[in-house]
Amino acid sequence: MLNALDNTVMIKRLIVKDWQLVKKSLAAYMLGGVVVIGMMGMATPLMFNSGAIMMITLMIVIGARSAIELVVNEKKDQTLAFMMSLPVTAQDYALAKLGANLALYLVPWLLLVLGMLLVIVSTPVTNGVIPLVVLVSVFILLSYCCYLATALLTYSEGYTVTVMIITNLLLNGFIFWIIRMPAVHLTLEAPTASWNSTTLGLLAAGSVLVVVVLMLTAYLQKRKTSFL
Amino acid sequence: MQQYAFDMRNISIRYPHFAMENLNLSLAKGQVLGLVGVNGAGKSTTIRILMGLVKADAGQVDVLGYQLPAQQVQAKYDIGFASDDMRLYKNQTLQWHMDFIHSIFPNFDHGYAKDLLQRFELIADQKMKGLSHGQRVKACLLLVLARRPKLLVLDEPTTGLDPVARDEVITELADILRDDERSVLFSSHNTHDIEKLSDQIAFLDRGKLLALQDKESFVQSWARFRCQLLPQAQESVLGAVSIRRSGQLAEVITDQCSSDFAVVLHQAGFKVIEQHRMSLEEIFVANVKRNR
Repeated sequence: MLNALDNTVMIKRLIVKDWQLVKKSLAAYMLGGVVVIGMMGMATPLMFNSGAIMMITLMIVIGARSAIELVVNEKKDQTLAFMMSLPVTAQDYALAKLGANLALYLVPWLLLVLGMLLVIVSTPVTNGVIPLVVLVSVFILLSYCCYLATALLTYSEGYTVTVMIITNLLLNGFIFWIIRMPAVHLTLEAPTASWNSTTLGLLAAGSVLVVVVLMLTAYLQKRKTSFL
Repeated sequence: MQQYAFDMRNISIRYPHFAMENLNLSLAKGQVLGLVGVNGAGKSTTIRILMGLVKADAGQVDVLGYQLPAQQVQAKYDIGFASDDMRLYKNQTLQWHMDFIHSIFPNFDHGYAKDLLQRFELIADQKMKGLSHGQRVKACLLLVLARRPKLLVLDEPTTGLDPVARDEVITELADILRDDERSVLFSSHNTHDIEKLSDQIAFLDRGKLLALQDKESFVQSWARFRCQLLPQAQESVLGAVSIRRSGQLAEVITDQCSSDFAVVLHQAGFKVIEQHRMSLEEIFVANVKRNR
């Protein structure tokens, strides 16, 4: 069997194709992100908190749309057969999907997180909220990786939406849980970001889980013998 | 030495409600092979194995000199595949798809694509979501044919088309497939379509290859005899696929039709009243019934 990396030209071509398919909607979401960051930059508690809620929603919507539109719909809309008629293996295709989704989610995610951090450090909003913002953002990224993995491994809208619902419910629980942690809530009003062993541990655990989920997805995809 | 477009040897695959055991199927270069089978016969499974999309539990698949699924990437550069369940991106135009295919296959023939656009009466700038099913099928065929693949694999491309669209697609395909260099595997449960396009015909049922012959051999070797039963009529006749009795009459179907068969019938107590050639559909049905 050819090593998937031997077919990098086709993998890149498929990633570019996915970019072409979603670039307009992604641009619209990013415009929405700029508006939300602007709201948060007004630095009043009402505008910052409303903006934060809208930002969480936006991150979830971008991820959900990416996984549904680029993976699940490919099977649902029966374009998968067209793609698999091209000179690619199932592994090439899965790798391209993983690459495209990560690129098309990670870049906006990173820009939105950096935008929020920029607003926090450049406005009267207390920098103590930075660990909370980063941890919640990483949890949203981990959630995205979970439902992306589900989409890639099952191509099932039902399973993918189920994982989305579960991760969204867990997000609420996660925010409630960490805000109650002394290591987080005691430093929220601090003038500087306070990274302690608890917040750093959570950050490391979240990052490791992201990598584990992605690697496991690639491994399970490689073991598939039947496609379509 | 025989040059094969593809050669499938001892292919076996097992699903919970379907099994294919030791399938052997090959296609000589430049030939058009029609694969006939009812829904669930294993046509799509055969084609998916041939395209490297499904890995068989056992057996060997050689396509254009490449071993599949291991060398499917190289093989797919020379295989054009279209199926009835294949769709294009609904929010993109046919032109976008043509450009996309061209970016992958540098040999994409724009002149030929333009010719096919006219023949199929398609508009390059129209989005896929605005096309009828017949137009979508034609668009898929255009994208495949303009690549000028060495092997064309068409999995039920006419399924779901209205009679007019089906006739248009079949007529165009018959014209296009005159190219002697191109090998074609065409699957359908519609024997009329297969009969119009194929040099060779294979019957598949429940994962088994029932028969594989050239079209003329099928039509010549199969016949139906309407007979009067003589008092000494035997229960069976050598060479008869089926005997259906109704009072003093019987209908005998054979796959070994020759001038001798009428003699064999007479010796067995069957007086021939009429002899009919059978259509491919009738031959297919008789074949399936015999093997079930």
